[in-house]
Amino acid sequence: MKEPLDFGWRTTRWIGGLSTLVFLAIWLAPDLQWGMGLRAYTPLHTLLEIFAISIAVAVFAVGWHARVVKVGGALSLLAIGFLAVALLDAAHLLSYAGMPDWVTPSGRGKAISFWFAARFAAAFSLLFFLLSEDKQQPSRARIAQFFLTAVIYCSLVFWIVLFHREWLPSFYEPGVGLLPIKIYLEWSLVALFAASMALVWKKREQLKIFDHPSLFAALWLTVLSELCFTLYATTSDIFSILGHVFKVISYAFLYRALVIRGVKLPYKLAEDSQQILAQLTNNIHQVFWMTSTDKGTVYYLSSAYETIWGRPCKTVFDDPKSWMRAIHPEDLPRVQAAVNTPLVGSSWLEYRILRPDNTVRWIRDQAFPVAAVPNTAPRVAGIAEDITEQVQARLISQSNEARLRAILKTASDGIHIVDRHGTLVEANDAFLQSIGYDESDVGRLRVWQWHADLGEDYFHTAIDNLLNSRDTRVVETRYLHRDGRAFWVEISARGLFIGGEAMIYASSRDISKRKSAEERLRLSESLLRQAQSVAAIGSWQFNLQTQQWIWSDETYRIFGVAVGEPVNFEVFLATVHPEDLGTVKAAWQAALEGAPYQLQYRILVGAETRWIEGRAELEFDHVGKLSACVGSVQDITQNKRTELELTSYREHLERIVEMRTAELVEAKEAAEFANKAKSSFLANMSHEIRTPMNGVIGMIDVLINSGLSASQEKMANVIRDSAYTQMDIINNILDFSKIEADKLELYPEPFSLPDLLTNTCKLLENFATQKNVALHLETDAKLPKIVCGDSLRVRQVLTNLLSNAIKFSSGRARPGQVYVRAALGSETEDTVLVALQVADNGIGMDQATQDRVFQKFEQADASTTRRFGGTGLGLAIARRLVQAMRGNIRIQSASDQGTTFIIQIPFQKSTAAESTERTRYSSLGERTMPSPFTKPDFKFTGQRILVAEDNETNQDVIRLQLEQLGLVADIAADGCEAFERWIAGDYALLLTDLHMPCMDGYQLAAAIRERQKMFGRPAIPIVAITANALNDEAVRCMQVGMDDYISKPVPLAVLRATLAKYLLEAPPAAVTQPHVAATAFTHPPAITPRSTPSGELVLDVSVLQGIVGNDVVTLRTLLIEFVERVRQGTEIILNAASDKRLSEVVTQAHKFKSSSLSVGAVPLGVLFETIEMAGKSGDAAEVRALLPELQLRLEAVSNFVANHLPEGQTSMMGDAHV
Amino acid sequence: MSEKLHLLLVDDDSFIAQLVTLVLAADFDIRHVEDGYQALASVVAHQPDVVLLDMVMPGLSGVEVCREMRKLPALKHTPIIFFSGNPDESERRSGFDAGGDAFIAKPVVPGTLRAQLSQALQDVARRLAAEVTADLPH
Repeated sequence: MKEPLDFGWRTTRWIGGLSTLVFLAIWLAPDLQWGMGLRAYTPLHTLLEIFAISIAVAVFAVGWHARVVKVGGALSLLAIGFLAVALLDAAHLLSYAGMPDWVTPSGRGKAISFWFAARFAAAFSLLFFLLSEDKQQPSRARIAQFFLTAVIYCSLVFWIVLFHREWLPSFYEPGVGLLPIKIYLEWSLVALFAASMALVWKKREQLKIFDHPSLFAALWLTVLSELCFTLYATTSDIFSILGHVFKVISYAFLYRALVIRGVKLPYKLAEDSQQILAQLTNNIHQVFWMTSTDKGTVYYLSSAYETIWGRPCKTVFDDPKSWMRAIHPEDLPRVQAAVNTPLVGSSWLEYRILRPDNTVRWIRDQAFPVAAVPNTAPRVAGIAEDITEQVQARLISQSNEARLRAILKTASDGIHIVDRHGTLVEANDAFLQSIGYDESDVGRLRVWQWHADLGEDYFHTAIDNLLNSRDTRVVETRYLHRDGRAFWVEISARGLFIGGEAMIYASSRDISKRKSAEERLRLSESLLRQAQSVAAIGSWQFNLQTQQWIWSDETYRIFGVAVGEPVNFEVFLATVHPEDLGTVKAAWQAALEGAPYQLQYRILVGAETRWIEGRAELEFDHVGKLSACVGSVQDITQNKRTELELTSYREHLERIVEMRTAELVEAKEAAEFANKAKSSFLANMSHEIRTPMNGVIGMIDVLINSGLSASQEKMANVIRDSAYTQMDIINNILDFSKIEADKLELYPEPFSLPDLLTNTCKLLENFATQKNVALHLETDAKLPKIVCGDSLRVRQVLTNLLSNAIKFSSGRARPGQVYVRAALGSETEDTVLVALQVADNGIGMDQATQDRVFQKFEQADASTTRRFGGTGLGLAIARRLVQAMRGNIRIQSASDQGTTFIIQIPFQKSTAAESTERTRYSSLGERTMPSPFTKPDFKFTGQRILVAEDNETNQDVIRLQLEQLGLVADIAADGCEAFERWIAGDYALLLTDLHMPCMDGYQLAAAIRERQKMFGRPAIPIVAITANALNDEAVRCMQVGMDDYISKPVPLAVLRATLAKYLLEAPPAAVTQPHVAATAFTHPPAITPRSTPSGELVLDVSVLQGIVGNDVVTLRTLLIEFVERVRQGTEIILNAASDKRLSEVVTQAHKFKSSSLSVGAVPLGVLFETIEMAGKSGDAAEVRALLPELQLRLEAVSNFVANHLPEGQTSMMGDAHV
Repeated sequence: MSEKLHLLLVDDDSFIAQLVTLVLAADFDIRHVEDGYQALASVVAHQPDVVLLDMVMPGLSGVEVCREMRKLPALKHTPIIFFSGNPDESERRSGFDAGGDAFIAKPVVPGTLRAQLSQALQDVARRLAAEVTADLPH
């Protein structure tokens, strides 16, 4: 390792080479070998030896003192060795030939003995040093041991050489020269030194204490020197001299090698580092210090102390505690406490000092423990720094920040800061409140969570723009409150950098009020504009001073001038119709003199003449001078035209009226009155009138059947009769109104005429019996079985006539007889004329009565009404109906001779094999009073009926009626509720009102049929109940898939009869086929009864039967295969669900939903559907929650197959319910 | 004039609907529904600028529709003009109480409809402006 001041190998090479050349030259050229006399040689030798001895002593001195230095530890051994060398060399010098005697006579032998002792000491010392140089520092004991060895060695040498020379061999024989022993010893020395050289070379990079090139040179010269001593012939010849010279030079190099590294270099380095330290401390404004841990001793204090403390450093060196005296009294206790606390790791302290000039400075003082050095007291180092400026700045910024925060917090504007990722990092209360969050959301909330119109993508673009522009942007946008409501805000935002981070600072203000106001104003403005446009009103202004005209857009349009064109009075006048020009000019002149005007005039726009109503209002200034005119123009062309038309109509009317007689006026008034009466009648006879009647009629039967006493029952029967009569009247009135209003429609279809006649008579039989009237039916055998016509209307006409006949032939002396006869009249290719006769033996009527009897509100006379009741509409309706059927009706009667009504109706011939007579009960269909005395010959068996009815009275009625019939009513208040109940529950039948909130009866029925079809649910019979007895409603009911239709009010008997059709167990042929469109999932009634309340059908085998037939083996095979596949699918779904592979769940569930429904495993299919939906909505928890149910249902299907389709069986076991 | 205003016409009488459409199509975008439920659905979905509302309809009456509309913040200020056969004082009052803005008397005659509607629109515009002025902070 080369250090500054080292010689380097170059010098070593020069010296080594040169000395070797000299040696070789002299050795090889005997001419150069010269000698000198001993007398001349001795002083030279003495000089050279003294020089060598001094160097050996110096090596000792330096080496000895280096023993405390870590790197030079081994040097102490070398030093001891060289002390011995010095001593022995000194003895050698004193013993040299020619020197005075010392103890024993001087001589060559004595000198050479000491010489060898010294050389070997040097050789071994060097070798020993080099070997142990890199070892640990020798202990004191070892040094002492070595020292003792040296002393013993020297003592031994002295004792032997001085007192027992005879023990030593002879080295030199004068005249002979060197003896071999001398030469061998010299060679062994050469070998030792050569070994040292090798060591130096080997360790050249590690040697610290020696400059190794110098050492190498020294050793080389020593080797040369020893070689010289093998060659000399006399002690004073050239080789002896050269050997001594080489030795001295060698010692000089040894010394240099030691001193350069051991003395000079450390000095230089110390000086350098001193200098660097001084430069550092003088130029750095911090105070560097180092003290003992108790601060009792100051080791170092940099000069910055003087500048900061304003006191000389010397004071601290003199009195180490003096620095503390400058500390501000308020901070002193704190500082003292810190100073007295043992330092663990680094710590710092801020305090104030008072300087001599009475200024106060803030100091930040940091202390570090210093790594312990052996033999030194523990120390503390530190840096003290003047931080007055920072502290002041900090104090200012702290107070600024506190003030700013206070301002922000209380600011009414919503102030907030977001980072470039859109996270809210700072916000004041106003902001958080405005969007409904609180402080805990700061740091979490992202911009797009509270911006209604700003998406995440857009935010990233926006923030870049904002940061790049560095301007404040003001935008109006909408915030989204946490509760989901959006509101308008105005935001001013700008980008800024806080601590190197890009941020957006924004303040927002709720402007929804302003926005709403703006919007309303805008709307108001456009409404006004629209109002003008709609009414074609334009406005104008005329400023008298500037003579300037302003027209509104509409004014331009009215006058046919392009909007925005400059206008003046002439432009206006140019459009005025020539005939009106004078009037307009005069009015304008008058206006300028202070008279506002309003006049109508014409203008010409192109070829078109427009009527204008113009107005002018005047404005006056404060001195009463006319300053401006404002006015409006309105296009009244249309009004004018209407007015003219009206005028002409009026005139025409007046002419006609003049020609009319007074009767005509009267008739007209009567007609108008009648018409009005009819209108209001129609309007008022809305279906609401029937609703209360429902309460009466519905309840009365319930009441009568509730176990009344005989007298109560009698009274109730009176109420009942009255109610039915009342209902009859209302129905008649409604029917007639409808007929009058030409709203009657016919629905021709094939029906059986004989059946119709029989049924009608049967219906009235009870009534006739009550009235004690005999009823006879006589049918012409030639009558065609099936004809085509509106059976309902025919029945209505017949019923009407029959009940009249019964009424008017009863209560007389002779027993009442009523005949119904049907006969075939004429027949054409496709029509058949049927004559129907209703004859009685009642009171009859005279000719005058016969003329009026078909008019509405007419009966034979007023007393008839009192006697027989009725509206007087029946016959009028009958006639209208017959007429509507292209038939005619006649009367044959005389007072007291009975009455015969003859009806002829042409029916279309029918090709249909059977009747499709409608089985509905409409207001037009029935005129019978089902007898309350006819006790039901059956009772229902507690089936559950779903009733959809919104009217509470009707709810009560139907509930009680159903209870009476032995049924259980479940009432839903509207269609939606009914639909939900139908989905959830299991009902034998649905009774539904047609008009309900949420979902009306049609929608309900359609929805149910739709869903049934979708899920293969059994078809539920649906019966409509409505107060609106319009015919097309019935048709609509059937169209949406209802089965039947009952008109309100609902008599108990009708309800019973209707429900019986659907609820009673009857042979399939007797059950009315539902009108539902057949679907793949409609079950044959014989095999699959409707599911009962006991539960859902696990598997509806009929579904599969419908597809593959009734072969049980095939069914079983298919179903077992199905179960197996579903089992595998369920396995897949289970795995997929646990791995959260929802798409797989959806795929599988969808697949098995379809196949489950196809084989009739409806509950399973529905569950798969639910799972599919849950999967689609990504709700894994829901899917998992459904899986146990899935396994249950699958097992249920599996069990069903096993139990109902066991091996070896060939017929069905029936259905299973869960 | 920029865009046409959107007008929702609620009337179960299709004749009146035709008439109104005929007369006002040039000035308004007209949407027609036939009953109160449809009206509510339509006002929520389309937020018309003006609503012409028949007072007497099957299902929800005009007054009920009006009352429902006023419950929705977005429709609080939408102008509502009632059609009414012969609006007597109590009927008018119930209309105004429900939040209606103006009345147009039936029967509707083409010649006068424009003038009536114009008058009604002006009433509404004035009411809106007055309301806004009252709402604004001073």
